[in-house]
Amino acid sequence: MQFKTLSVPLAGALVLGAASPAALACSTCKCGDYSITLFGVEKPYDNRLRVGLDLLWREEAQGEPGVAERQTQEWRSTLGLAYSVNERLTLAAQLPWVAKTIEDSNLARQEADGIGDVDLIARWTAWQSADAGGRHRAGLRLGVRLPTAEEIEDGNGQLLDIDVQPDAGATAPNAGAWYGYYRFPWLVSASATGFWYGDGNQGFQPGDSAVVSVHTQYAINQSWALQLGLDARNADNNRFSGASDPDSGGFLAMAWTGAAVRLSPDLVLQAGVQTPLIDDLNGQQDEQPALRLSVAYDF
Amino acid sequence: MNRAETKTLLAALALSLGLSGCGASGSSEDGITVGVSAVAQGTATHSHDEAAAEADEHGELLKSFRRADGMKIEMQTGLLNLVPVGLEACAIASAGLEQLLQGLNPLASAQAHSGHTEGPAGAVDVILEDETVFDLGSLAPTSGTYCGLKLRLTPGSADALAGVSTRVGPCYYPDSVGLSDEDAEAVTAHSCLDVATGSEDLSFTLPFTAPVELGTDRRELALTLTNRYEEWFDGIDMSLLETDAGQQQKLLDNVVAAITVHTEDQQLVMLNFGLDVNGQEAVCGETYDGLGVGSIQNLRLEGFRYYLSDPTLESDTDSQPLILATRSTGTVYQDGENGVALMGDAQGCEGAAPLTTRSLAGTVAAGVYDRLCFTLGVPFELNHDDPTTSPSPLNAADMSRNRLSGHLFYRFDALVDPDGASPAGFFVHLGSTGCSNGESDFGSPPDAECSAPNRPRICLDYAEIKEGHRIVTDIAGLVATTDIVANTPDTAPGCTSSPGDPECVDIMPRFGLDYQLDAETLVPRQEQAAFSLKE
Repeated sequence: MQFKTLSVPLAGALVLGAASPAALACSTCKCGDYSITLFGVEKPYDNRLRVGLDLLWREEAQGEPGVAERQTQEWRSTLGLAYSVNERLTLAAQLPWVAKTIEDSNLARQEADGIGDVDLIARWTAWQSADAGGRHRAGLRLGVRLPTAEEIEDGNGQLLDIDVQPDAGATAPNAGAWYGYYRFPWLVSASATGFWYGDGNQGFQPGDSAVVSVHTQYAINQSWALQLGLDARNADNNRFSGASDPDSGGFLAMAWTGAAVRLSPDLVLQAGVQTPLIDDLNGQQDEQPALRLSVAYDF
Repeated sequence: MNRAETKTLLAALALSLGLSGCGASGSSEDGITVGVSAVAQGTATHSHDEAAAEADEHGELLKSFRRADGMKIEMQTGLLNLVPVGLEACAIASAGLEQLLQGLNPLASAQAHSGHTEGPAGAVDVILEDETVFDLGSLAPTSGTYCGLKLRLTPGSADALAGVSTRVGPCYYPDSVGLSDEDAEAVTAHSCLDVATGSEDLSFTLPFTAPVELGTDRRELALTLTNRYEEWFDGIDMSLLETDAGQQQKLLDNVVAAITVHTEDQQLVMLNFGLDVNGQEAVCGETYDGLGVGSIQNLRLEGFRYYLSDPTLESDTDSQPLILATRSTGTVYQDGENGVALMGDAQGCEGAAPLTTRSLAGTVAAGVYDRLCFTLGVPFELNHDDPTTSPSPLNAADMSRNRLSGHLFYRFDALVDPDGASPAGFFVHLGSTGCSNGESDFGSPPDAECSAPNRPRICLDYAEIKEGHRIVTDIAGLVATTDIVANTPDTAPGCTSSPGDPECVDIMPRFGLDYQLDAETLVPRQEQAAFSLKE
């Protein structure tokens, strides 16, 4: 018997490709300002050194349910360090450790954990109101995401899908603006940031995105505060080997509900949940509520 | 930092590290994967080197075969763009695939052989050697129970299949219709076509012979599509094929109807058949000599056909049903319980056009088998249905007597000494006898199985069949000790299975059947002499 393997099926490549899990990659679906814990919603002060730890659990599904669906579960643990050079300029770095599990509708399952893409961010206060406390402040933020994500292999040395990799491994310069309002017991923080992604690992290129966050905090007393907010993201389609992934990108707005407790003058613990509010994501995507626990300590 | 703060930070760090693990790691577990491949399959013949691709006088590849009416076809191009789309869950009824064909009007202007056109990458090229495997990719279905494979014939994007799903290049020999193989081989007048068709998607579903369950216990499945290209041109008016959209649609329907799917748990079986009269190929209207033991031993063939049913492949320890692939000609019936095929000249010699079943295809559970067995006849469950409403081929004209008696299982009609002074009919008709419904109502089925079902079970060496030997029935073996002229008064000429007919004494036992000559005389069966294998 002769065996003939054909390298480039005709239309078959298109049909089967649509069901290929690799085309569903989504490594940048996080919604909102991921640096909010590190920078905080309160005013910085000279020489403030803050260490922050964020724990995020999220879950999403992409693709046609029951046909070619990929479910992703992600634990993202981000260790951050922020130093306020003065009241106006804060520099920060964030190192994520990511554990992901993806399971396809055909029962294929992959797990990976490792270091994700590091963020370097500078936040500058460009303006503050003339009142005594400087209740209104606004400024710019600039940053770059570095392609530090590890490429994880399975036990047989096979590179795992980009979907389960800790991060995209793409350089992403980003820039935005922020605004803060500080008048006890109210704190309001808003930011808008644009990300422009380069090529990532495995031919994956995340779609450029803009994220917006508006968070309000109301202090019940000196220790406890309630938080409400809105996190939104609008993104282009991801591309995989040059082909656009129809089940990626789009607009998503999530409501943030949380609480913060000041355990000591320098230690703040926050917890909350992000719940999808407006879902206009492209194609077949289903974002589940995300849980976040964070702690920040000022030296 | 005070002690409480330190504890909190350390706890958060420990939680983080605990979730993260101690180092980068990864693992994967394969999901359900269904690999789909395709092969082309003609009828293997022992003298034909396993149906390998031939070459014409110019060295071009071609496939040579005869379609159902006997027309010789030499196909130089046979390309399909066949795309697996998904599996069909058992809960959803699969689309019907039976397409019946009508019309047989050959002849066209002559063209020269133009040679084999190679297909683009991805196309199934049936001109290559049979059993060449074409990888059509893989599917990743969810867990579930599946009853079919959804496919599409879809236009290609390049080369010979640009904008079309199907391209065929047959050279056909109109004058070969109805001739013996030898005579057909001698026919030279032919026409050649180059037909590209299928500019739109044609979706269809191929049913599995048994449900396939996929899940954690079974994550891999290999499906093989078999393209029986010899059936592509059945019923096609070749003279119109290049220009007539209806004929091109019929071609596409034939292509779809000639595809079967089987899993790695099954194996494909191709069976090649023949009908002989005293060692020569049986051809309607031909005269044959040397039959029987009487003074006159020549006869003219007026019809030769039979039903076979419920084929199995067997070993000393196993018996597995062979699930027959239906044909666009309507000569094969297969349901969940029974498979029936009408072999030979399906419409007799008086049909509007020849229609001969020379081969069968089917699937069987994978295994090693010693014997092919089949029943000569129609199963009782189907034998007494109303032939006017029965599915093809159980509705074949002249093969049903009445509902009480059921079908003729084996029908040989001839005219003895056709050029002599007193030509006479000679028949060998096999069917059930002793059927009763208590009222002698011939329009109603019997109450129970007939007292003489007369369905012999034929078993033949499968090793030889696999090598391409033909399964041949030769009337000479049945009438070896019969005087084909002699006839007992008040009985039918020859043997029509009726009890009490002395001419049946020599014939019925040679089917492997006991024969009740009268109340006292039961003629014991002999080793069947109706079927044998022939190179």
